[in-house]
Order: sequence, then structure tokens, then C-alpha cells
Amino acid sequence: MIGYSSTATLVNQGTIRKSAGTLNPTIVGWPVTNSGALLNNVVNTLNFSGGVTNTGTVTMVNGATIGGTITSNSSGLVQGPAG
Amino acid sequence: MGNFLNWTGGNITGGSGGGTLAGTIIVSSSTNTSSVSGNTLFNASTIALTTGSITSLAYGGTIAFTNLPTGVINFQADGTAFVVGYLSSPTLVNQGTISKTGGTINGTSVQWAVDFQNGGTVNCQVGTLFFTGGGTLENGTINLSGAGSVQLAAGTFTIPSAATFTAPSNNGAYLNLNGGTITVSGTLAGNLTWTGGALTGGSGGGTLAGTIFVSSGPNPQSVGGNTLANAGTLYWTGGTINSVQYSNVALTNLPTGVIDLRADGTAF
Repeated sequence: MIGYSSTATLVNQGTIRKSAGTLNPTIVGWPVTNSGALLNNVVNTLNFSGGVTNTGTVTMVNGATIGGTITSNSSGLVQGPAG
Repeated sequence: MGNFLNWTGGNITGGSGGGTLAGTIIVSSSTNTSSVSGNTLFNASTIALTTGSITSLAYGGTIAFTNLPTGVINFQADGTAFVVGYLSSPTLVNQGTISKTGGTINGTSVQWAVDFQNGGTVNCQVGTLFFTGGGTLENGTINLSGAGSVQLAAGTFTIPSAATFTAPSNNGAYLNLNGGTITVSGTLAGNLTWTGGALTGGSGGGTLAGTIFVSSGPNPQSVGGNTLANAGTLYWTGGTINSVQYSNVALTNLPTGVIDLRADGTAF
């Protein structure tokens, strides 16, 4: 969460993934600036409640959900499972 | 046991040219204070604290007590073993062994800043050993052993710029940040459990290059500064990573960095 009277940004050039937890959402409340990979590998919700500015990839497996406002520019990609 | 000094009160200080404790000293409780002063006192043998504590001399200013590679400082009970005296700023420089062999209920605390030098040992055989005065995590690593828990629990622990501190492993147990702050001006490598307290970058930047296991604990986790970068792996299974209050925080997950969210809940 964002601490009192502070600002926070998570700059992702690598990988942020949800790999477990199937009952409730996993929440990332910090705004994310993504040029790497955001993955939800679980049939559940990964909620970027602080929003995502995306120039990388946002990927989820079949049945998974990614929440939050994802703003992709022309190089950004939001995709489901291959095939 | 052979000859030893029973230290139940009074002050020990190094002379201007330095002084070495080369025999066994037993520190036990007393109505008087056992204190240390000066910057030139060295321990080359064993200091065993059975029930007492060592206090930095009041009004002593900056104090440094060095535990040499052959030195052993052994805590045999719970309680505050190294106490900060009024208006003094003490540091325990550890090149030898700090051990805890007794006390299983409340833990043993070291209130002094500790300079963890490369090759030193922390051996906690029972209970929990709390370092509550901050200090320095020097370039290199320390040896961690014993079945007990070792916590960085309060104060600011600094990894200097150009230094890489490799947090040690001990049969699947790791150094635990549970309070206070690690300020990373260099690189934090190795393995660390993070159940509370802050990780922050120094003014010139700092890198997390190892594996950090984040889980819930009695204290919240937080990140501070604009200069902290993760090049390693951060496994999150609980707790919430907050931005430090009254600060602007940017945590950069570098191309090699992985943030693996392994549970439900609010991670950031």
C-alpha cells in the first residue's frame, strides 16, 4: 500500500507474476510502469489497483483475470493464453 | 573452568595504545554497571554473559569494542546484553563469534550498533538474538549457525557503497529483517527473510541481488527512497509492502528481477 503522505511507483523491467493463491485476489496497489512482463499464472485475479502504464506485455493463463486500469501504448501488449 | 575474571561492575577501557582482553571474563548481574569506554579495547578470548549486561559508559561519546577473530562473546541468558549508556554511541565490531547458548523465552538483545565484518560468526543455538541498534553490513558475508533465530530488529543497518553483503544461509534458515531499516548503498545478495522493517536505497543507489522471502510478521514492511533496484527474486507470501511515509518511492524491478506473488492479499 502507499504510505501516508508518500508517492510510490513500481517500475517493472523484469517479471512480476502471480504464481499461487486461488481464493482471493492478489493486489498491487502501487502504480506500475511496465516495460517487462506482468503474468497471472493462476485462475484467480491479479489486480493492479494502482493502474499500469504498459509498454511491455501483460499475460494471463486461461481463466485468469488481471484487474485494474491497463493503459497500453502502441508497443504494449495484453494477451491471453496462446492457442 | 580455569582462571577467569568475574566482572560484576566497573569500567574497562583500552589505553591510548590499545588494550586486549585475552582471558575469560564472566559477566554476571550486579547492582553495579559493567561498562566499556574508549575506542581501543579488543577481545581475543571469551566473554560470557551469564545474567548481566555490558553498558557503554555514560557520556562516553563514540565507543568501539572489537571482538577479534579469536574472540567469543557468549550470551547465556535472555535480556539486553549490550546496553547503550546515556550520551554514548557504541559499536561492537565483530570479527569473531557472537553466540547465544541460553535463554529461550524473551530473546537476547544487542542494543549497540554492530559492525558485521566479513568472516565473523553469529551462532544462535536457542531462542532469538535481536540486533536492535543498527550497524554496518560490510562487504563479504558472515557465518550464521545454530538452531535459533537471528533478527535485525531495530535501528539502521547500512550496506556501504561499493560493498556487497551476502546475507548468509543456515540449513534453510536465513537472516531475518523484522524491524528497523537496511539502507542499501551497495548490493544486498544472498538470502533474507523479510517480516518487517524497511528496505531503502542509499543516496547513490542500491541493488537487491539475492533472494528475499517476504511474509507477514508483527511489523509492517516498507520500501523507501528512489534508488532501490531489484535484480534478484522477491518471493511474496504475506504482509504488505508499503511505501515509507512522507517519501517519494520508486522501486525498480530490473530486467533480471522477479517479483513472485505466491499468495492472495495485498502485496504492494
